[in-house]
Amino acid sequence: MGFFDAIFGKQKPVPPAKNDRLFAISTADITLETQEDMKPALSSGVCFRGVASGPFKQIQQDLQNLLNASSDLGLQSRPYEDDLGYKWILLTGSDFQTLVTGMHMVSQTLLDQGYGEQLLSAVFRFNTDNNKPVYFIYNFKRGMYYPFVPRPDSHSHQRNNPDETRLANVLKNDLPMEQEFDRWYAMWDLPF
Amino acid sequence: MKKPVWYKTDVGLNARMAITLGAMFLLYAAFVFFLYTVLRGGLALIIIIAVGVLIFQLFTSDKVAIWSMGAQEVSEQQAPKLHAMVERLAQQTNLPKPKIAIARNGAPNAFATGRDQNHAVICVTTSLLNRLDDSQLEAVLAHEMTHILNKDMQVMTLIMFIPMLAGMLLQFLSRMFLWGAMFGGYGGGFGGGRGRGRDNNGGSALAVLLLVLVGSAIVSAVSFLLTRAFSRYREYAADRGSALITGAPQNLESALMSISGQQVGKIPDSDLRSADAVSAFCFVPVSNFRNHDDLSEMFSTHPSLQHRIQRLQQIQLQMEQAPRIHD
Repeated sequence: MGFFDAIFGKQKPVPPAKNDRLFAISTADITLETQEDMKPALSSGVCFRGVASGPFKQIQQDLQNLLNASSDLGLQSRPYEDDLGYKWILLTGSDFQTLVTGMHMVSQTLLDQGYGEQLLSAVFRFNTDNNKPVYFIYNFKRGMYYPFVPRPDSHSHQRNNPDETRLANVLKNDLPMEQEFDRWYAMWDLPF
Repeated sequence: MKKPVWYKTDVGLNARMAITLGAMFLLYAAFVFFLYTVLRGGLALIIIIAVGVLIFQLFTSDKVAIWSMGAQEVSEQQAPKLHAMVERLAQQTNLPKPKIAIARNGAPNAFATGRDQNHAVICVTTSLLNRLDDSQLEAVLAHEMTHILNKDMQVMTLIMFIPMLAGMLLQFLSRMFLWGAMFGGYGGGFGGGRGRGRDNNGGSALAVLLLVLVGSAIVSAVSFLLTRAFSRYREYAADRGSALITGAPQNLESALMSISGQQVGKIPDSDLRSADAVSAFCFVPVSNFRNHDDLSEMFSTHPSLQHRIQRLQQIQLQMEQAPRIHD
């Protein structure tokens, strides 16, 4: 934090998004499949903060049109809003590479249109061999991935920390992994 | 790449902050120089004591503020929604997640404190939680997050250093002179037999202390206005932060309005000094801000409701413009 930030306060309270390392996940699925017997669920979502304005509504509409036009590539999408007021674009893809490309397209469109600050996270779902969800969350502010494994059948929001740390270790060569555990924020009740 | 219009630096606000800070710096420098010329070596002792008090204040700020509000830290199980909101805001601003405390209090309010970003606490009152809906509450939390982001606790503590020093001197010396006046008659009577030289020395020492007293009083009064002005500018900055983080300035606007629509609290039981210390970091000042005119705004830590809403509406208008390409 610079001298002027200290005197005047930060001019940009929300840091811009870094989406360049989002693509790192496109090789991680091989490691997960061969070593962990996990398959990509081919569903994912980009989470962002809306701007209550006309132009932003327009961007959302444009984005939706763009995604609809990509449906012949095997990409399906739908908008979603969670309990905390954050907006999502949920994607399903015919294969994992298409899905990753689609996720990058969504974030890049927001970045190009000047709404990069609004981006929060990108979440990819994988399934274990007995079909339990394992999520990998990309934090756009930090440009880092971390695993999120909710304990199944628990309504009290519990995480499987041993599995999370083990998966982070397994993928440490594939993914830029978040080193600070206190930044491994949970995302409960994901709709995919 | 396109950039959002509302992320442009608020030049007017920064200019005001710079001018206020410049004036403070001049005043403080002059005061220290003045103290040095009249007190010489004695100044070092005073400064050491004042620095000690300052560091103590900064390091105990979170506990003192929370204790004086009667607040208690809450866990994720106790307040899941509040934690979830703060967690998202922390993620968005790339700050470590602050602790959260809740105070049972008649006034709807919130404040942030803590000596640095890793020891930050956000405290909200139960009546704030009761009165605001989720989006309004989130806007208030984003305002407090911006205080943490902008290091307002540290900056305010730092600029309060010289005023605190002046205040200490003022208190100490005015008491001394009060006692001097009360027992002065006796002293004079007994002292009648003293040598002339000593009398002169005593007289000049008295004159020096009187000078320091007057100087401290002036610095206290002027720095009071300056630090209050600076505090108000930090509030505008925190409001702007809330608007940018939530992407919806109207949420904070409606939070401000629904809080002020009610009589703010009751007659406070707390000591004015402790209430004041907390007030600088509160969401709304502890004192009622209705019927504010420009004169009373000059003396308060927070801008008036009208001014805050005006600013938020400006940001809202900026947001209605699409981001554009500029260098």
